[in-house]
Amino acid sequence: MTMEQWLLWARGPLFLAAMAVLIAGTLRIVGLSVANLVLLIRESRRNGRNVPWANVARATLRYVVPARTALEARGLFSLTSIVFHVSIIVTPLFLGAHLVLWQRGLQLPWLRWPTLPAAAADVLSVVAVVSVVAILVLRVGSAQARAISRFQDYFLPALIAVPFASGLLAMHPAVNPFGYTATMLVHVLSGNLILFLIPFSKLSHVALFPFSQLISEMGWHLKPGAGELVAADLGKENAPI
Amino acid sequence: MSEQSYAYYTEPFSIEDRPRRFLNAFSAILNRTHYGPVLDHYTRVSAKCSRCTASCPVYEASGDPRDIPCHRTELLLKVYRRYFSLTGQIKARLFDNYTLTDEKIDEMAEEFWRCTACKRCKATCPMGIDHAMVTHIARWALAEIDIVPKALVVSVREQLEGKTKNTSAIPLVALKDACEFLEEELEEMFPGHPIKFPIDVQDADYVFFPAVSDYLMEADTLMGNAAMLYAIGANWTIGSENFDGIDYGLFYSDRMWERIIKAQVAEIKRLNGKVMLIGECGHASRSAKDGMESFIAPEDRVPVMNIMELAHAAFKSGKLKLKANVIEERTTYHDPCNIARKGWIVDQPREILRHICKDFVEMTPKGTDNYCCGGGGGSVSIDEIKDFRMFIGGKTKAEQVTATQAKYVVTPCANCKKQMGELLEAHKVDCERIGLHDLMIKAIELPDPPPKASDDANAEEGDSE
Repeated sequence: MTMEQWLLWARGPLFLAAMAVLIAGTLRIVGLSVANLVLLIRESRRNGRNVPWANVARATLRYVVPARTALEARGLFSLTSIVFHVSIIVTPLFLGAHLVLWQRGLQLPWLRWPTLPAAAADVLSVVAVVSVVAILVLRVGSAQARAISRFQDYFLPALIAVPFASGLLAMHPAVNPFGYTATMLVHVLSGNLILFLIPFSKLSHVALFPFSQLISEMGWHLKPGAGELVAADLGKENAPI
Repeated sequence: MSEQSYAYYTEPFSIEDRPRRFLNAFSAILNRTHYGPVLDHYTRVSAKCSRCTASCPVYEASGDPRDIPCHRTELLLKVYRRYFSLTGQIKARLFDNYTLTDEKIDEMAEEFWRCTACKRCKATCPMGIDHAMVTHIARWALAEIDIVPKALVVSVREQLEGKTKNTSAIPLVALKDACEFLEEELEEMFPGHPIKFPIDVQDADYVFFPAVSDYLMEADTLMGNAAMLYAIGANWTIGSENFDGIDYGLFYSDRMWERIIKAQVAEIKRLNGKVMLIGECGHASRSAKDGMESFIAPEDRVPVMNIMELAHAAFKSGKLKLKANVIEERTTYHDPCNIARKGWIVDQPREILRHICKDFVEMTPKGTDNYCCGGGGGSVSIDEIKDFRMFIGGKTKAEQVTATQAKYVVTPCANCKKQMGELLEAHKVDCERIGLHDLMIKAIELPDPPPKASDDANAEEGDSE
């Protein structure tokens, strides 16, 4: 296959496969979370206990709009992380070229949403790449962060930088030392890999974040009688303490 | 049976086949409780962002990576992922990457008891991971294979199966003697006022459950409690069959937590009481409030109230009259984590203190963002880890108190009181730890003594009959 054919394959069937995995995988974990939560909340209600929705919402929103809380712990890292998140969410969704892809892919030529001017997208892509580098430096450079880091904690940020760097290069052939097709192939392949990994890695917080505070709350709605059942399972009924 | 091998003492436990038995216990807990979906969620979203490193007092003081909340939590999440999640089981078959061993159980046994369950880290976690809940679950699973601090299990055994039915093993006669003694003391302080410690009053509004250790160690707090209750004309009682608010189940086992709260509620029902009134104690308040809502059938529930809430409400309504600026010395307030972290009791005692103290100062941070005294999560009862409590768990708190230059640090919790007293001594801080009611008793204005009172009735309170 030629490079062009590889690119077509990556943009076509491979992208669809990655999307399919993303959608199915995300539906699975979100579905499981919602189902679990519905059951927990129903059981808690039956037990005459209410969910403090306002507290849960407040705790969740604290980190949707984290400006106020960012500096309280590891300020530089937290601010970098906010910049990183904003740039990687905004750029791919609001890039004009990506809107065209959606229109073509879904065959809905009338589909429209506001798009970024190319220059703004460039700036945001640079910001994304720089913030990834900063995040990695702050992780590698901090003994406490290293102590809890797994392979995916280094790999995923680096992987996320790839489509942004390659996208930038593809848009600016004058500074691109590689061929356009090769650059696009890297862009599409890395993008696909990210989509594919979302349901299986910590990237799943993309979908699960809204449930986090609620599930922590529900964990403390303890189940009456559970202790004695545990004792029975372990053959300790009526055993002295 | 094992030799002792942890920082805390345990009773002898079997070391045979421990990984399998731990997994059985963990599996039973996951099957029977609500914790499964929570751990499942945490294994997915934990991003290892390391923000918790900036909020944990234990890690801040020790600098030891094993004290990082996320590091500790990962110990249990690894077990969950490997043995209870699909991907973990597939991965294990492909890479043989993790097996639960005796060493890993020992690691959990040490590290989950270095957490004071203060929950400071939860607020800094963008994913809302409740590391204290993970600690709670891990300790329960460990306790089911008999790895649990001896100090706690011995107390719970006495409370649930012993003769005295309380954690300090105080016989009822001794309790009655103590109460009579305190009544005499109060009679001297407030002549003409029959301030009583009523026992077994049927249909009382408030059934009183202080940390039972108060009867041995915190006489001033109890006298303050009784004086306040007298001043507001409360119809209250102590139950002779269960007078201990302590519930160590909160620290290591939901199974014990449920049994203890049920025994306490049974006493309230026997007396046909209306409100469960907890003394100055953080963990007793939280275990009663959460335990009541979780474990007690809705029709049997009674409201749970901390005595500071009652005092504050009476103060606001004007029922409790307190002299202003009676306490001349500089005073600060320590927030017990179990009542402050969620914002339950933060401002109430402060309103009282600002009124009765001339020079009330705050520590930073405070309230919902406070630092643990270093004795949380049951650790204060474990004497053999005192050095850890003094110089790691409580280091920041000692610095905070020192910085205020206060003469009194109001510490309205039995656990925090013991820890704070030891802490101030260990760090040679010129400050006295004291209960809210111990201070308040100096400011209480009682109404005119009842007509029958003796002639020295006007000695303290001014107005004679």
